[in-house]
Amino acid sequence: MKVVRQRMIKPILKLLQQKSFLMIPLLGVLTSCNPTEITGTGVRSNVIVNDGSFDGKAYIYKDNPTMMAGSKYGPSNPDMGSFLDQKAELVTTNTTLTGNCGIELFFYGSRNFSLNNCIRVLSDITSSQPVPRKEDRTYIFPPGSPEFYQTNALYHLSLGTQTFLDKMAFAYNQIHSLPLSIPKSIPSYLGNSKLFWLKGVYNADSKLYKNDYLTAYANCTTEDGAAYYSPAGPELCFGFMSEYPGFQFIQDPSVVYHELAHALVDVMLNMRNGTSSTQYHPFRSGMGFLAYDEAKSINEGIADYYSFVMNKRTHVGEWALGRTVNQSRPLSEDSPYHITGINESPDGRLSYPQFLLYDPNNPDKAVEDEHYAGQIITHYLVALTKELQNQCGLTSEEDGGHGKATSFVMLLMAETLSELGDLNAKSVDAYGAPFADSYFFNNLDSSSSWLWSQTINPMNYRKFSQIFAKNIYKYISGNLCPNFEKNESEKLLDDYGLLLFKTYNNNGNSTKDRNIVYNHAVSFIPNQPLTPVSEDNRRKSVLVSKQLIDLAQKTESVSDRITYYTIDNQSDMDFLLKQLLFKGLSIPLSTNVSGIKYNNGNIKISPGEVLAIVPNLLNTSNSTMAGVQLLANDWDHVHITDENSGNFKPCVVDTTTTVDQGAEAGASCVDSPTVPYPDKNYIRLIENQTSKKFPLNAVAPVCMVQLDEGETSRWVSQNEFRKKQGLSLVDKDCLGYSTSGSGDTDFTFNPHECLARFLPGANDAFFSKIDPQKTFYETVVKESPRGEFNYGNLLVMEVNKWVPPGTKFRCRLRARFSNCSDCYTDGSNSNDDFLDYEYNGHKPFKVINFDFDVNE
Amino acid sequence: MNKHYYLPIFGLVALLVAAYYFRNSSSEINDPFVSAQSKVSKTSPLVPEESAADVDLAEGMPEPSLDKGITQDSSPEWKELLEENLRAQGGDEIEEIKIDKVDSFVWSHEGVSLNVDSVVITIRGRQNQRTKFRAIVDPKNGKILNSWDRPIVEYADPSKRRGIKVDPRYHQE
Repeated sequence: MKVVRQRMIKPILKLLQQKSFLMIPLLGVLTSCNPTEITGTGVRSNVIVNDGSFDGKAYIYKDNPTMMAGSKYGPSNPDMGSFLDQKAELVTTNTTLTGNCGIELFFYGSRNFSLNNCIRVLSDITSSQPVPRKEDRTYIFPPGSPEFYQTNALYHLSLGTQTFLDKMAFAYNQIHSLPLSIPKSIPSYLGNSKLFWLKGVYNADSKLYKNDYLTAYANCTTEDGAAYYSPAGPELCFGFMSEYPGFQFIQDPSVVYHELAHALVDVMLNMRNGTSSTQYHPFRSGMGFLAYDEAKSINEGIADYYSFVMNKRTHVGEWALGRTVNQSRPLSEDSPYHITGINESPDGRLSYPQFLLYDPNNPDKAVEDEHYAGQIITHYLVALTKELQNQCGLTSEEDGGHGKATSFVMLLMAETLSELGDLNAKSVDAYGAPFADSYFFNNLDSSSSWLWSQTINPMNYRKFSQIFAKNIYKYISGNLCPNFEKNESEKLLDDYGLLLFKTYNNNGNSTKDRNIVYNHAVSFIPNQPLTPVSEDNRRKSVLVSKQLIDLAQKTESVSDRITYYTIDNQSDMDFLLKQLLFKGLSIPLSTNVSGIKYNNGNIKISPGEVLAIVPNLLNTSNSTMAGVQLLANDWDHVHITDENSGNFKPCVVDTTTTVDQGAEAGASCVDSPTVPYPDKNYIRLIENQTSKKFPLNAVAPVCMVQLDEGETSRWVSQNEFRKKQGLSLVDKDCLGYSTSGSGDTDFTFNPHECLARFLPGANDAFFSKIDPQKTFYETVVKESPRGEFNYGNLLVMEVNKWVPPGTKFRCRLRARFSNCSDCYTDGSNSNDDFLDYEYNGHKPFKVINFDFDVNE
Repeated sequence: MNKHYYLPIFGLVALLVAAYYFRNSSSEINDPFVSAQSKVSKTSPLVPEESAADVDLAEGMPEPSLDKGITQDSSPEWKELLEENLRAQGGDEIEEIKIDKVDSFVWSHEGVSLNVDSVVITIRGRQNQRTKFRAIVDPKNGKILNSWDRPIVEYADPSKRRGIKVDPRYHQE
């Protein structure tokens, strides 16, 4: 080995570590001074002579084997050495396979923020130390070796990360150069909080996020999934497929960028969740829950889009997904992979909800999957990028305007996601810092924000489109590219069926009071006018009333219609519970009074069972309903009549539960200036351990029980029932009571769900779409290749073993969907959106009364 | 002129730019929080159009949304209790559970303030499947109160993902 000019190179490399943005010109210097480039012919497993110009470098495959060798190149034992670029690339200036991150932000002066070792690459989960640089100071390893893949992984991840940070710097610098009167979500304190990357510690001493770095396992041994992103690491894993020896997902950079983008989505969602280097919200926002839902689909769509940002190619996974399982995805309608009829004309777009289940590789199959649904978002974002290139005069740029147009889109993305994921619930800031006032402008408030943003009012196609469109109106039409007018933006959204909102909801009113606006919290933001959508632009986006969704009933014409499906056999439930756990959802089972050992598999609800329910929703309209969410969590549907017991009377919220049946039509069930309905705060019906009283303004579990009193019967709280009807169940014999023997009080115990309850975390079901005059089963499950319910379709319930057979329950579930005309606004207040607190009640939802008797 | 002659010139210019930059910038890496006011520089080309003097500077940092909670006794076996709860769900599929406590704080939520422990839970399955997520736990009884940061797993072929089959008794001919 021969190394020359070491003394000259070393200080430059040291500087490079700190000033990574100077890398390009300095590399120019290095190249110019050293023309002795080792050409890339033949085997490149060793550098013969490194005079310093190869320090930290390696030969890289810039694209996947399909793109390099053609679509017929098979996935077994690829010769990755033959796909390497001729020129060695700098992988890292560090002495191990780790990368550094840097961002330069302007806010009354320029500041550089950097995080060393923000990315590290390991072989697999058993490895703990990144591979060190070779003795010859390069990272040139034999092609196909684990170290070779780790090196290539770091190259692509660093490139993807630095591109992202450059675009975030662009976004930050653009929006913070605008007048202070414009409300902005990307926080000005982004550099101080370090939340331009995956760092979020609870406090300075905490190890809550002890790793600044994103760990990537390049040779992951997982076969369960092709790849994963785990925010709890945070870590990425790129797996393999045993049927194709030598094949690895890391061989496809488009998949690497897709996976990295999930981490970048997390970064954007959480930009507002830390305010300085020591103040962080205890939770983090995520996009998507367990199985299929629209937030998860949008996440997948953005991830595919990021592959386009990096590759400028409107296709993803040609190698890793295409050559293995025929599942690569086109990202634009101009792709030949689409079926006939899909094209870039307004009528030919991949529109919502028609193409939610569309697999371009198997167009006859209907499968509920977030990647297929996410294609609508990707196609919209790619189409928007093309529009911006054309409309904003960017096509004359060297790259055709790709870089700038994608920067515009990423600006919109960061503004949108940072608002949606804001757990501090402020949405905007005062000058350079958050405001201290207890006003909240999104996600209800800082203590319930996680629940609101993930479950009660989560991101769906409507919410995402609305905020994204608001930001186009504000930043693109209003500043960066006035040629791209509001009408054009709305028309493009409508081409994709995404013009699902009536206003831009941009008047900045608070989550709890329509009269409180941004100006009350931030004096220099003036009152914001509410901008309506031009109804002329709504051509393809169809809105449907919530009154037209209900539980299916058997009819003469459709005699096999089922109202709800019960899954209570032991093997399915055992499988389901395990699957949920391995998807990261721990469910608090009440093992003392219920369990799958009681499951009898008679497809009825029996004492002691842990079972799943799929309410079979029927669309009685003549248009497709999509993004249907069914909530079984606590909400304000009762009047609490006794603060010592917390017992209540159900409110009259529809014609199903009447005053004659014990319901209340007045009192706290009616909105008044002194006692608002619904409650403005989300407080559970739990006894205060100091006062020993229950709150009078609280949300209640959804399931009530029928209490027979002589000739009459009424719907009551489960707490009231358990102390009557000869049951006399003590707290410890209730569902949800801690099974610990070490303490005598469970402070989170809710006695009003003592007998039957939907389990926390599994009390929210999602359905992709329901065709006109059909049920969900008829639309999706019956047509799917496997005839199965997705986990996301299920509500998981447990029943106390002490419940007497014959006991009648009524659970007030709440349904809404993305293309709903009256789930987000009711026509009053100029079609302004409902306030967040109103999602504590029934107004934005159709109440679905799920009645059942406990079987023998 | 041969284009190769440009390279040393370009390099020289780049070095001069670099030297100028280093002379004029201070190292601001990982430095402590700088108040909004101290960052005001009217010489910046990107100063917003309002005068810095006209704006209400830093209307105050928010108090953390934490308060004094119920001081429940922490059980010495809370990790075992938590593991027991996880095994109640995962059963014999669980090969190994790792619980890393990362923090303790007062959690104010849904009308209740509790001392809670924040943990990272890593579970390895019998078939080498693995999951990792964050949770807050009641240290008195090991009860999980909330969990987040769930993994996003990509399946190469979505149509092969297993769901729950519809019981044939529902749609018998």
